[in-house]
Amino acid sequence: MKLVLEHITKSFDEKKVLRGASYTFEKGKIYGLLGRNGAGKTTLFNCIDEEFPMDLGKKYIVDEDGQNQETNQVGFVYANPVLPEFLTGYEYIKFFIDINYDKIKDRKTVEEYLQLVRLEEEDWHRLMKDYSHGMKNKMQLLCVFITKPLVLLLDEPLTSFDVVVSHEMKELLKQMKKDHIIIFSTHILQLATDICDEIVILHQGTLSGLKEEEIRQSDFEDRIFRMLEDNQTITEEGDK
Amino acid sequence: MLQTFMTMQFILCTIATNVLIYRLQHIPLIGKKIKNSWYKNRTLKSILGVYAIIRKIVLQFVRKGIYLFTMLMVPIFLIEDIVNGGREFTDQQWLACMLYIFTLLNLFYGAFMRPSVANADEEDFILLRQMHVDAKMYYLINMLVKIIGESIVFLVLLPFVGFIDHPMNFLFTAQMVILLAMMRFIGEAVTLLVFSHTNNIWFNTYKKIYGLLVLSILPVTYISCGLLKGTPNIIDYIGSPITFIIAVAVGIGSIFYTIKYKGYKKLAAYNVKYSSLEELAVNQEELEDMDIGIGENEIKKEDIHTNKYDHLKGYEYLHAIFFDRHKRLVRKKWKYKMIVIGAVSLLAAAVLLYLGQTPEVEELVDRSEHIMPILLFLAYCMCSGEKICKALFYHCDVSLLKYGYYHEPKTILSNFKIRLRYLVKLDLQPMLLLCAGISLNIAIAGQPRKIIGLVPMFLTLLIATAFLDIYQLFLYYVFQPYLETYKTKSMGYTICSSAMYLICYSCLQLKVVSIWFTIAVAVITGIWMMISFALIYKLAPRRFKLK
Repeated sequence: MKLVLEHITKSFDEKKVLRGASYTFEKGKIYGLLGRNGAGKTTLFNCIDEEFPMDLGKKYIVDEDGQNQETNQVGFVYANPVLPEFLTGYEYIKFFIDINYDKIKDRKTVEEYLQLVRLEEEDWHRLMKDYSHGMKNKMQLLCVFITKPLVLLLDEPLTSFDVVVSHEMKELLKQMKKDHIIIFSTHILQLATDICDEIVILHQGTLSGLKEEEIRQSDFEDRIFRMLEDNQTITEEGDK
Repeated sequence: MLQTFMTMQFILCTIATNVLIYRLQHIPLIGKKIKNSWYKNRTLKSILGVYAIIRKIVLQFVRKGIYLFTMLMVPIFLIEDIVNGGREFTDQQWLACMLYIFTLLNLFYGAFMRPSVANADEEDFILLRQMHVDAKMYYLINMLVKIIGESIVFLVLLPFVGFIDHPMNFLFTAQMVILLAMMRFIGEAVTLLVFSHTNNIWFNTYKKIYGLLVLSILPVTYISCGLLKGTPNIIDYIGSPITFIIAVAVGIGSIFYTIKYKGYKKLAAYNVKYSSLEELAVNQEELEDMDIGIGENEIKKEDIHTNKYDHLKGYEYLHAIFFDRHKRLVRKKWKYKMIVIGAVSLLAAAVLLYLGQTPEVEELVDRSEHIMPILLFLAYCMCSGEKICKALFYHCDVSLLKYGYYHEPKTILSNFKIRLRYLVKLDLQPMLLLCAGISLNIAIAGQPRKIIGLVPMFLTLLIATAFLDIYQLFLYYVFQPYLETYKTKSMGYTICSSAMYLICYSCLQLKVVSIWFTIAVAVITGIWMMISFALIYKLAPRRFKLK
């Protein structure tokens, strides 16, 4: 199964953010979408999630049989989770299971799901407004895990997590990758190399990828910096 | 001071212009023509800046005009109708009533209400915290601009109050305005004096009590004005040279005090406590002031770990928990309405029992049909739709709207129906109690058969209540007027809300409600409900989103 992006273009007024971004993402891999601040990572995610309409281009999922599939099977995990704080974690998962009842394969109980993300039992019946940032992110990730969308987009995940929670999240993502296309955006190179099978660079509105074998090379970081800096020269000339 | 004033105006003008460009960009069809490059076009910004200033001034006039009309003229018209048997007041009586109300509301209560030194909004944050304008200059300039600006507006508008028959003499108007300005300065000085001794802005600390006091003072003001018909002749007291001299002397003393005051930096630190605009936006105190906040310990522990709603599913489950956990917020006004209606009904019953079945009581019962217009307007005022929608947005929708599943048409429609059910249930109860109270009193007055004749009126009232709830929810879903920063920004919403207010206000002109009116209201409500469902299903998925 693949997620195919073809010539995605998106502008906001006169500012061109995405300029014909194209790439193919495959199931079973975790992709790190690397880019500088303001490169358009979140915009690309919003285009994939159909939150923003694309100016040009298309995206589609190709299944194992080569058939095009529904592209609305996208789960989005935000950097700063926003959850209804008047609910407890237990209630939120129960509610979420209820509203997605027909979409869930291999349904578990609320307790089983909460155990999956290693949320302490004493926290199950606490209001989410009292949850830490890490706990809220677990809830968010859990919701995505429950519905198992084909494509999982994580916007700047794992930032401001403590060491233990960060490790738990990484393990969870590695566990999930075999059935999903996982793309997470970051501007932290170390995070990308730590967990990703492939790194995709978004710069100057286009996408270019580095395979796993290239990531393991010793001069990999230098290559990344050059790729990000090289295009800066082009940008200055372009502006003129 | 002039330099600081010019700098402040420049900054505020720039902000206003940028906001205007931003809003223009969000108008359908023409918005696309407005480019981001407009922000750097100085000529255009100068023009828009002038427009922003003119708009601000015009709005001041409009607001004060509406204030004078609704708080002075309309009550005096009603007093004429009720107390004077519908006969018009003489010029002298009219002026006396107007001055009586104006003096009490503005010279006394208003002088101490909302002093400019108690302000803590976005503008204060930007200018004091971010732009580091000198605190003393800032507060003094604000004070002068507010008081002088208000004085000019009243100077222009006051002669028009009662312009048809009772024009105010210009010299007398000027005298009133000077008195008003002096009282405002006195109010500001008193606030500073109290702050210097207590480190508290007493208006902010006791805002709720002050608010309640003002709300109870309003009926006292109007009723006493009605009873006195404006006499004792307040014109003589207000117009007296001694009053004027004393007020001006104390006012000038207050001005000197405010100029010499040394605690402005401390005041600024007290008022503008936030380190960011986001912090300002999510201030819990403000939420409670807006009546949509919930206190830290309001949700009891035993209410959290409960399975009383486990039998419910999905959005029914969500809403059951929401309304349970926000009991205080949802039921606070409801309780107040039930108590007031119950108390007034019982008081009226006691009075009727005491008076017995006299001809005056009979006449009062005969005129009971004529209260329908007032009851319709009361139903509008008592509608809790707006408050509940606001609470739903800030405590529930603001988070769930981030997720795609919440925008689906079926989800929106399902939530609309659930919320309508809760709203109607909440608002119908006070109306039912009101109808029961009226019926009880008519029965005590010895004319129980009259109750049957009032059934169309009661039905109209109940159906109108449901209509208003549907309307409010519809506006919420189609316009979604709330920002994450706890402000309301939607011209469409404002226009539609105002239109409904005008319709309900114009119902005050109705004389008698017949069965046909009831049928008409029922049919309109039914049709409107179907239209709302259809429009929400079609429009809300695009429009019901975070701004």
